[in-house]
Amino acid sequence: MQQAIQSSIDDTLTGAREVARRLGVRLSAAIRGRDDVVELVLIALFADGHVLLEDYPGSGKTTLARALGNALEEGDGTSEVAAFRRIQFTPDLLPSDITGTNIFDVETSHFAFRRGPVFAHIVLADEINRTSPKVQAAMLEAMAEKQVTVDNHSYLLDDLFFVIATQNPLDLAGTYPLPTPQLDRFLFKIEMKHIDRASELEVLDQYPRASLEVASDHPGVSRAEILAARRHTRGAVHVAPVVKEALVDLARLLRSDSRVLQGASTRALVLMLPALQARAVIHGRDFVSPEDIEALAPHVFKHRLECAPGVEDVDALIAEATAVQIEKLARASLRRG
Amino acid sequence: MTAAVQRSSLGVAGAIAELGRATIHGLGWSVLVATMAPSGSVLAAFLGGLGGCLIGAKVARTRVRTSAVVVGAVLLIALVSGLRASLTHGSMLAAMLGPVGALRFAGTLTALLVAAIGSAAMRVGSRRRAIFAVLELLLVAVAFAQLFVPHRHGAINRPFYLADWIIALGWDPTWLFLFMGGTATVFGLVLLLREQRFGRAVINLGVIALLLAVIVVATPMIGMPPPPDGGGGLGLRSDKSEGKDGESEKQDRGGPAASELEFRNKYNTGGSRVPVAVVLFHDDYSPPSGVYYFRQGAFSQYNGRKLVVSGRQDIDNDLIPYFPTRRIEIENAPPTNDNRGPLETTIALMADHTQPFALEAPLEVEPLDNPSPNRFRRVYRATSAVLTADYISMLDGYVGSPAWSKEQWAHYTEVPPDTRYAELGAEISAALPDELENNPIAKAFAVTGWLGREGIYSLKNDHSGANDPTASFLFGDRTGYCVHFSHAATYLMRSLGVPARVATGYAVSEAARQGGSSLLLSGAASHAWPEIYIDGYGWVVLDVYPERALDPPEQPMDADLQRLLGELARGASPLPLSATDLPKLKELARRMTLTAGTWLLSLLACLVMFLYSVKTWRRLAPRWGSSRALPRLVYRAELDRIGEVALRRDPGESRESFANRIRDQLPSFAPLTTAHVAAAYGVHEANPLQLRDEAARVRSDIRDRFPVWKRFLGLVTPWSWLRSK
Repeated sequence: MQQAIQSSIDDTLTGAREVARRLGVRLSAAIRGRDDVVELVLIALFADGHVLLEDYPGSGKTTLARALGNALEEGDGTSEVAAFRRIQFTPDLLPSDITGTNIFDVETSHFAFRRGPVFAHIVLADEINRTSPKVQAAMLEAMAEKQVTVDNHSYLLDDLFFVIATQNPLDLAGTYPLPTPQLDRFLFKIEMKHIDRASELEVLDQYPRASLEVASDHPGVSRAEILAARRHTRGAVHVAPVVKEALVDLARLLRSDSRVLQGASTRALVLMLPALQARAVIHGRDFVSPEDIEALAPHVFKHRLECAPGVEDVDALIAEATAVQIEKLARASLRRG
Repeated sequence: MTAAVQRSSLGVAGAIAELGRATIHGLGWSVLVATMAPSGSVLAAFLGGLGGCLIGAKVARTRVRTSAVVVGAVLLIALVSGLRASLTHGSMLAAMLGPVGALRFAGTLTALLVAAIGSAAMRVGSRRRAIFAVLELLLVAVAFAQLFVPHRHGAINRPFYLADWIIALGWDPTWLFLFMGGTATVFGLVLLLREQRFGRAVINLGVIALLLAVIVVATPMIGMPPPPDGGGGLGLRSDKSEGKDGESEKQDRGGPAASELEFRNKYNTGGSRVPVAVVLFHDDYSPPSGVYYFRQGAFSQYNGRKLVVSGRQDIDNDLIPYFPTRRIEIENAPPTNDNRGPLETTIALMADHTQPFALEAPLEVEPLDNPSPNRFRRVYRATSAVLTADYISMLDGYVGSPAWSKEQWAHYTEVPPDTRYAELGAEISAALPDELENNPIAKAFAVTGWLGREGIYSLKNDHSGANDPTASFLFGDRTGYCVHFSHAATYLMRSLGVPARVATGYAVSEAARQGGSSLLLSGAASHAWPEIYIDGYGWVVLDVYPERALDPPEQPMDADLQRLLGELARGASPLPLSATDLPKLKELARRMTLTAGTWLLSLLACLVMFLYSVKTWRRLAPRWGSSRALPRLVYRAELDRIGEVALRRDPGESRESFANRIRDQLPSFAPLTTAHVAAAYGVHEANPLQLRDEAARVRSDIRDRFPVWKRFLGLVTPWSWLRSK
């Protein structure tokens, strides 16, 4: 996953990269053959974004989220916030079921707020499209604002609030598909493919031990470490002006395409920038390279584009537009100045 | 992808290019059909090609396999030809539209469908695989090239409606075709410049420039293909093919005028339809015999086997001795009087001749400027004293000339020692009526009349092996061709005391002129005939017309061709005038062509030089580049190197992905790429030593992993750097 690259990365970034490496090793041990997904999840974690996993049942979504939670818990046992919570979304769920609610305390004769499952570092929002829009809205507000409001009182969530939401691409009966503006709150939509034969065999080989158990052989990371890594990533990774230009041009190109009804928002670009930086760090660089755009553009833009009827291949559409910008950047890099 | 998707990605320019391509398809098909079908089919072929091309472009986007398309196209075309057969042979359509209408309809339908299917299949193929584009190019190239295939025995070049018109105007079609070729090339150039990939466009440009240079330089040198020669055998012409065959042929040609009459068992008529000359009559003239005789040579010296050219000065001196360079008069020409009137003719030779010829009997000859050097070898004007008196009036004349010496008389009346000639001669003349019994001219008439009745004309015979082939012919099966007849007649006439000789040249029936002023001479018109000398008339043709022939009659010559070549020859002007302006212009045009060719070639050389110098510069730039620019220059130099061994970044591929892709072939390229990218987008200065070290590793990797020939080819390709991006 990680290229052996001799880099000019400085100490703070070395620390961030080390955190990413440790987490990567741990997650990869827990979930085999998903190195690409693991990398994207780590990037989202470092970039303070959330991810939407679109996958079939039994493909390791929960394992992945739980492994992340475990890794955090171990490194940071003292926190009063739970490291990992899982919310199974169902049609009869109510907003208070996830945010928490005020409960009358008979001893103090006051209403006391009982925190819901969103008060955690890592939240697995399972089958998010199965619940009512009301609950979805509450969840998405929490994701966007990092706070929940119950009875006109806002409660801040932890800085390291990271949501991994899942939805099943098939079996859409009785679901409430997330509208595009709400999908916009997710940094990545990751489509997981079935793992290859060798990895599947590996999963069976470790059968007697649960994969989480295997993963816990490796060291975990603390909340503080991740927050520091986030900070350093934002501050120390250089984004060249031409790269920003390419990013903006890419978004504009996609918006102007007649096959696209609604293009990516500016928020998408704002969210993408830290993601690019995070990827650069994970790859041992202190600058964002066109390769980062090439790698992340499909995951960032795919769920944000509203396509014209009849357009099936969104991936090809994005790849086409990305290729134009990458080519421009590549040629420019050979020119003076 | 839907059509809308494709359209937007191509844009307006793409749509125009697609339409342009379709138009070229249509044009190609219509031109291909134009030479063999009526205008309706031509239009149908155009529409078919146009539509087929557009359909093909659509089909190419679907998932239909290319092999299925090709097989399907072949089957469909077979189906269409079956349909055509059923339409033309069936009676239903013919009953509805009439036979002509049915045929037209079937032809139009076939043209439409075949063009559409062919174009669609080709378009699908060439959109999928580059190799199919060759087929497309071939269609257009063949369609246009077949227009220029020489027709009418190489005398006129296609397209005749174009070339004929040009020829009638008196111009040389070569230049028109050159212009057309040039225009086509420029058109192709523009199309190729639309090529998306710059590198490819530059290569195409180079290839086309080279092609154009070759065409421009080669066309004036080679000119139009010369007409093939054929139908020789009488030694009239000196082209290479003349007398190449024939079993008795062993002569080595000593001089240019080594013309000789040969008795052959089989007279070769191959290529006898090829025009060898065109004669332009300046005045109307009907010969009394009904045949135009163009005399070139005369044979009067008996050498023991046959008649040959006499070496004596005072014999046969009424011929045109050589091709004149200025106006000459023939010394011993017969006088013009009531019996002979002057007639001017312009003669344009399309094959090399050993000697000039003219209507008997030439008075003066003048060379003319050649109006079309690519078509004519030589053009001259001859004034002849043509026979106007009829043959009956000659009966009152006297044979021979009173001015002749004894030797001349003896020369023209020398007979082979064989006594049978005299016996036969006497026998023939005995049949004359009493009042003509002692008239030598009447005797000569009797001889030709008798030979015409008794002889059988055939190009095949078996007399050439005999010691005296004439005796073998005359006293044998009397089957032979003009050489046999003329010899026999001459011997018989001489035995009767009439001065006679054999003349050679061309003989064409008056009817062949078809009322026009020009007369086309072909190899088949080559002829030998007997002549007698009548005082006051000069040498008079007294030909034998065999009543029986074993060979099929000759086809008449192409009337259009005769007229057109005549028009072309009409442009001839006397030399003095032409010395002032016309040749100057031509010379200027020729020089300009050569200059243009030289310019093009030097332009090409400059281009190549430029490419090489940029290549060298890019390669050496890292040596003196500033440390800030160094990562870029080093990377570019190595990118050029790996481009030379055909490792190239795909369009839209990032530099790292490219390095990753070729990791197996060139692992050392990834670090260099990283250094370059870091310099381009990062904030730190690169370490020059480390950079050079990485570059050296890439070079040694290339050396170790790629064969010498591949590296060498890459090194010598001047444009390789254009493709490294």
